[in-house]
Amino acid sequence: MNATRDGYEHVQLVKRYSTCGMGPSQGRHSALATARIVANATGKSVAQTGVTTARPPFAPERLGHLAGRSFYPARYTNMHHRHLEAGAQMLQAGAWYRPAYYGPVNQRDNCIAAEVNNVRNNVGLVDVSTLGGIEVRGPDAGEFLNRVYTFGFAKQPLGRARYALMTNEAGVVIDDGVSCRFHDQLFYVTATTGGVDRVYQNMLKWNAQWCLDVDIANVTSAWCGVNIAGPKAREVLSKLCEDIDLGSEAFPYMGVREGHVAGIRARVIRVGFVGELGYEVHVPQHAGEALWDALMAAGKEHGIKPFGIEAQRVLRLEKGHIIIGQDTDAMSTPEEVQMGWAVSNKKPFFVGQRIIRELNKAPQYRSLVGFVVDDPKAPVPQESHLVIDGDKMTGRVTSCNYSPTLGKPVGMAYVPPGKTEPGSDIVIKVDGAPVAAKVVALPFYDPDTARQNL
Amino acid sequence: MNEFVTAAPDSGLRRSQLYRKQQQAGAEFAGLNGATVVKQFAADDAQQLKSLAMVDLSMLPRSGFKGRQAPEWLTQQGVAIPAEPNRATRQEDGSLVASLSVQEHLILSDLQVTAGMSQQLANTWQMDADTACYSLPRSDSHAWLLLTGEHLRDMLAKVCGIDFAAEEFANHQVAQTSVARLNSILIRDDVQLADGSTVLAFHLLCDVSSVEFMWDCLQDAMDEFGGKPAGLAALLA
Repeated sequence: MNATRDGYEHVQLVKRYSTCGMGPSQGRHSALATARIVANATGKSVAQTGVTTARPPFAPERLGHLAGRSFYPARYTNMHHRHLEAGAQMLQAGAWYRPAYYGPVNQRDNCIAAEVNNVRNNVGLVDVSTLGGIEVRGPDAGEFLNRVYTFGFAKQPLGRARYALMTNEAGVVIDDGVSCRFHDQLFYVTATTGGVDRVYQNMLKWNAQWCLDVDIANVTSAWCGVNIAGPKAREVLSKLCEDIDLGSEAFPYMGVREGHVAGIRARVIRVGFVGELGYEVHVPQHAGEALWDALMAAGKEHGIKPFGIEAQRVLRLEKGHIIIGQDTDAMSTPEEVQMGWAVSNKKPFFVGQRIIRELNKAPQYRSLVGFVVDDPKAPVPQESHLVIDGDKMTGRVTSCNYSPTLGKPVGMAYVPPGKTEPGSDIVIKVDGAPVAAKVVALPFYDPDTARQNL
Repeated sequence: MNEFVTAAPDSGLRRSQLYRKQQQAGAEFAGLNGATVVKQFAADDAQQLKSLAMVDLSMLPRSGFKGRQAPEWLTQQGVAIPAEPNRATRQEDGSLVASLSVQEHLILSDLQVTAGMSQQLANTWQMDADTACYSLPRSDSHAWLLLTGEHLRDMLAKVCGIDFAAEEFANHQVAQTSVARLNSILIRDDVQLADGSTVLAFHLLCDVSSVEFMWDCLQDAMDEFGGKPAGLAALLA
């Protein structure tokens, strides 16, 4: 009922929006009931709505199969117990457990807002160990990355990081990360938590065809990482860094260094995912807890506080950074999501290049834009709420949160041509009611990137 | 020398992800040649090792190398490479080298942590354009458990599909398989106990981030046979 009220009136859309019929029975129990509910809600008959596509299992499972032991592997970072001790509410991302926010459930929104404010005004620490990590090594490492990512990497200088956007053969954005060059022949590439296994498999598959002289290793579990972010990040980190000059000139934005943090061998990457001065510190997995303890102790006098995934999502949204898989879907091209700048037009080949060039010749049928809701009494739109024009669906919301920094809801949505320019008015259907929103230029926060370049 | 030095499990920079679980189970921790390990759980650890036990070796040194020239490089460093993949070879210094493929090898320290091969190889290796041999961060990517005891085959049958019968799976044979739905490396390496008896033993290496899950699964599977965790002291006595 909620799905139809939100505007998803076709039974196939209801299935995808609600995941009804995607459980172990694959719709055996729910398909007809869903069709009846949709028919009832939309004033149609079941014959008109139809039912969703039936897929295996087609036959009943034997009890013998079901009676055996079932295993559901879980993954924890080396800092996991520190999160629990700090009162974290954990959420699952695949098999990983990650801190959503720190504090009681009934204080959720306040906790998240406080974490956001502490990063914007002070310094915060977030566990990023679940990020994928892949090492590409060998004489052809630069050439290999040139082919699998859209940007140029062959000439990437030592000690520098570059944004790495990956598309598939259809030109669809499938992952992103940062490529860090630590040696002529060593690139350490990060990938999304949920996407790294696919990225690694794709890399192996492609190089089985290309036969370049590289070694590809998935080192996700071998490294633990934190992002220390906020205007006081440098002050805190410098207390623990003896062999890395953290000065803004010696270690600029998108620089990478190797050295020691709190006596632990570390890879330090200066990044700005949350839009503040920030450093990702990656250390060997078994030293993760010791790193966390050292940073929390060093930052105590500066008011350091841990922040969770929810605050990180708000911070990155304020900065206008997309999350692959949330702000993209199975059709998203770089141009659609305003990532054309991350695509090199100079190199002869990368996976997806040919079709991206063709697609870019045609007019876009949708674009990802930023929007704000100015009416303080309006409900906050949620992910997958529809952008409508009269009774027509024209787009959908991909991210939306109340922004503690801007004092109003901000979000991203796919909108049709004609609604992409800043100042355009759009309407979002929230719980059945229209909410007025305005398209604005991204990012919402710190458009001159002065904060992360401190 | 097997000199255990009193140490708290969270006093060092490197900490096993299992230390809290082991603390709760009554573990006594100690330093052993630079690694913080569980010295013992109970006075009958030796008996437990004979029956069914698991020992956390995650803080002991190990390394890995792969690449088309890895065998040549390792041989140049004095490593005795197994004759074929999925076999392991004991080295002169007590280390164990397992061949995971023709081009990939895993080096495990001896239990006393006196063999220097693993650390020495890691220190010697450098990125070299002329040599296609690459180090792997095995000390951190994988957790390392030792499983021992006469009930071990029965216990493993509950969590793994491989037939570990003696005639099917010889000492120093390697299986890269699924244990409790986790990709795992199993290396049979029977151990000799203080009373001179030899007991069936497997090294189990799995993704370090899932070792708490693995520990719980193994503990659950061992309960039926009275299996418990044990410390290193009884193995080294």
